[in-house]
Amino acid sequence: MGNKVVSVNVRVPKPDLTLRYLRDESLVRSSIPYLVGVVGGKVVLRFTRAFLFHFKDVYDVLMKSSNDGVNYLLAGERSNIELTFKASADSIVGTAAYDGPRAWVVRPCLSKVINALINEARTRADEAVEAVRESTADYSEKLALVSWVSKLLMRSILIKSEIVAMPKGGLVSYVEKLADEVLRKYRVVYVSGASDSGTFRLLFINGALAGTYVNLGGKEYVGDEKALNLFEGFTQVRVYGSMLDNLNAL
Amino acid sequence: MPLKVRKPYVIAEEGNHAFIWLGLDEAEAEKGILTNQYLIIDSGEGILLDPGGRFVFERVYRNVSEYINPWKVKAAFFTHQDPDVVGSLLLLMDFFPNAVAYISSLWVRFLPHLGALAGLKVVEIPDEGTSIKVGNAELRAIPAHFLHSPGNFNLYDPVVKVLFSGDLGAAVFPEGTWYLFVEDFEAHAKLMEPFHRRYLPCRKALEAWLRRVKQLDINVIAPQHGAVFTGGNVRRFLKWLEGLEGVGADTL
Repeated sequence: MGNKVVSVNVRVPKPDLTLRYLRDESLVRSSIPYLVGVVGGKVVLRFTRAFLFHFKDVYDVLMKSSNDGVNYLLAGERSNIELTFKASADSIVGTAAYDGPRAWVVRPCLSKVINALINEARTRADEAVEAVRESTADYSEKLALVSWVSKLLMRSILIKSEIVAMPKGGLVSYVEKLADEVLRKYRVVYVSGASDSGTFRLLFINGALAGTYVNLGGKEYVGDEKALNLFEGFTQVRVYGSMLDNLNAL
Repeated sequence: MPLKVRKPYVIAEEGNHAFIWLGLDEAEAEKGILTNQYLIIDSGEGILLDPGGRFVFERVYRNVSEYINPWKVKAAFFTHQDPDVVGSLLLLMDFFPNAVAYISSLWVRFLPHLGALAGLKVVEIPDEGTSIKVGNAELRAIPAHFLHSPGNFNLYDPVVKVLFSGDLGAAVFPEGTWYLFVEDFEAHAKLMEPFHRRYLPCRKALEAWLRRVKQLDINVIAPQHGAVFTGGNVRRFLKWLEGLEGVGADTL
């Protein structure tokens, strides 16, 4: 391998769990940046620099796992890339080395490769934690999960959509007005809103508020009904009636 | 194991404008006809092209979020009405709240059947096409009627000269093989031929499309299924279509 080793340190909440996903060869095969092909079990990577210069090669992916980390050798027809990941107390340390032609095109891409793989493993670790959480979470926590909301939406119909000038503190009274026109007609109602100040998601079951999620400027309020009073601005509100009687079916 | 490509790839870029492929999810029932979704960004605004069905949505959403705030996605362009094009409409409306749907006027009445009974923001594209402003770019919906849907459009991006060709250029990959860019055109043509002979209605529709498309300055053709044509393969693909016989109802 060449002398120049690229090293990246990414802080993650659960380094050991993240490393476990990095040991999954399919993660590297599906999530490595610059992937432009799959043929005969090999991956085709096409690196680009400044959108003018390219280097493409076909690689075998060979994994070697040890107690303290995992090593991937991407053995190409004209080049080799070695990736190593190790866990520390609060982060994953990834290193990459390249040996082959056009190193000036490939090497600048390697930190993106390491970052992307670590972040993908982190995402999968988060999803695994979420999946456990989803089974035990209350509805407010579930509203924070894109996966759960998307499953709910796929079993719902959009029954009302409007743009509302929402004053600060006006969201609760807006929702109260929904009661007459919508909440009595559907056992499960999901309401979402988006304005420049943020987003909210509300869930009603049998007309009663069962879960709240508010995101204001990136700050999440899960189950904090007071946060509804902070929401304001011209808001695209959407009201959905669910066709499900039992949300456990999601 | 079904193929998954989680990371997007920038197909063309110029200044603050980019044409981005959004990854891949394979379902067994697709039988090798994998779907491509794309995002065009210009000056901080975005448009989604054929965003696909439910099972690809989370990956599309996540990859779009890598490049742009979902609120800045101003439009979604639908070539036609098939479920692998419009299936995620309800999710799209909720997670990209500012996106306006562009679709042929023929198909607007079908959209409520996806669960959108109210509040659908739609621009009905007239038969002759329209222009769509995203950021400072003026994209063009190009008629591709009957290819394969009676109300069908392609989208031309004049900034990076990419034609999003919908079902034209679709290819069926053999199991375990996939590539983003066409390299060996002759080999790739064999993967395209069965689809084009069966799904396209007749040569007349194809010829009308070819006449239109030849007036465009094209560097890249990006289809909804199959692989992307660049460089000399753009010309080869158009020439291949010119010579394609035995199309659809012509064979009856």
